[in-house]
Amino acid sequence: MEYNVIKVYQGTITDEENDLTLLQLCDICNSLPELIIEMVDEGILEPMGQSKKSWRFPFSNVENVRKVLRFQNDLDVNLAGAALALHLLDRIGQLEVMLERRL
Amino acid sequence: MNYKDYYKTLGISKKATAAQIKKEYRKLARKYHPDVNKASDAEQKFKELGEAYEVLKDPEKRKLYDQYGADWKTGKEREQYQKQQQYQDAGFGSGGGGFDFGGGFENAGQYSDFFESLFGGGRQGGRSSRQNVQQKGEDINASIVIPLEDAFQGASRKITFETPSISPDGQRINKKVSLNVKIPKGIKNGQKIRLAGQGSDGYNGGAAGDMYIKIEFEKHRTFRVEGADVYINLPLAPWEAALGAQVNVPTPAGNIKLKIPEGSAQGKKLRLKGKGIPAKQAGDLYVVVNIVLPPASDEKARKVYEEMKNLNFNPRANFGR
Repeated sequence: MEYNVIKVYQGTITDEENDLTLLQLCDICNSLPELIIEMVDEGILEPMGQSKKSWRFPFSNVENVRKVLRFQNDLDVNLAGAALALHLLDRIGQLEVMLERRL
Repeated sequence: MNYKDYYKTLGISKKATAAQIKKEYRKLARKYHPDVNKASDAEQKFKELGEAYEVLKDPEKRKLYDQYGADWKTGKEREQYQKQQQYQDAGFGSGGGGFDFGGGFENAGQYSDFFESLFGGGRQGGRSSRQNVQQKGEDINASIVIPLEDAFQGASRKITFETPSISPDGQRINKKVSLNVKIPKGIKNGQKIRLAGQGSDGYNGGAAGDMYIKIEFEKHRTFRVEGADVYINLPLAPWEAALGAQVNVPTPAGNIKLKIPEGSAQGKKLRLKGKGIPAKQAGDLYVVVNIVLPPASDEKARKVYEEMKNLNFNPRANFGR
């Protein structure tokens, strides 16, 4: 009898990854730890845990890290500027949702 | 291959100063940055701006472009340029290549054919020929449409996609890849599965990128999904709704026997706690009562309807108040 062995890849559901360590977040975002630490100091990211070793980030932070890196690279804004842009984009997103509900 | 008018792209004259070029680029880059601008052509526009700026901000490249760019199609100009290029490569000039586009968007490092034929780089060996640093490969985004039942039972599905890769002889190719992916029980519509290390190969020994698979449910005739909750429209005869009944209900987890309480009104929702998608926080199953009237198409049915007139039921008792 012949068997076909099929390799099945198992992934993780990103919404449910709420406990990424600093290094895991760096790996996923292709970023250096120093940049992430700066973002935490700036208040862009707010991980659970007190020390850097015990920091745990939700997966939703990945998109924020990538956006900040793109703003810095593409538009040459500093971290505070990128944080402000991120905050304003969030606000615009919320307002768009409100507007859609009204229409 | 089309000529690119980089001055036009940035909306400036050929005499623009370095300061003007930077100012206009920054203004347009802020406007068309794909994180800020949701228009579908924003990313393309942004890439074109980046390419134009890459050339015009650099006095060497700008000079080459001004000299040869417009007449690039004619063989004579090309020859002349290539001669100069050889001269530079031999160590007499600053030479082309070696720069890095700071993009960060997928494929942002890919310039137009026009750019690459003028300034080299890119075509052969991709980024690896330009930079010798280790770099993580790009992430791959894919999506898959699955039946809702997969979210209840879990499944394994095959996905096929194309990924940019470098062939053994250094050419940039699109490789066809098939993967069998486990659909985890409890997944919801729109969620993404991350397969670490299944993205594009890394550069110079860097780690491979990740793969993201977005899950979409097939449209279903009977089921409607909201988050982890599932809604089923249940057709009932008027007497089943009025007098109560026990009916078979097909759910994504299989058939169930459901007791319909007497006096169930049209649109009433019967909630079956925890019987929705078995996510970490399990959803509920809602059975929505949908009363279907029998047609008064034969004598027997007409007679029953005639008899019902005796109920003196006024459906408009509260109408218009």
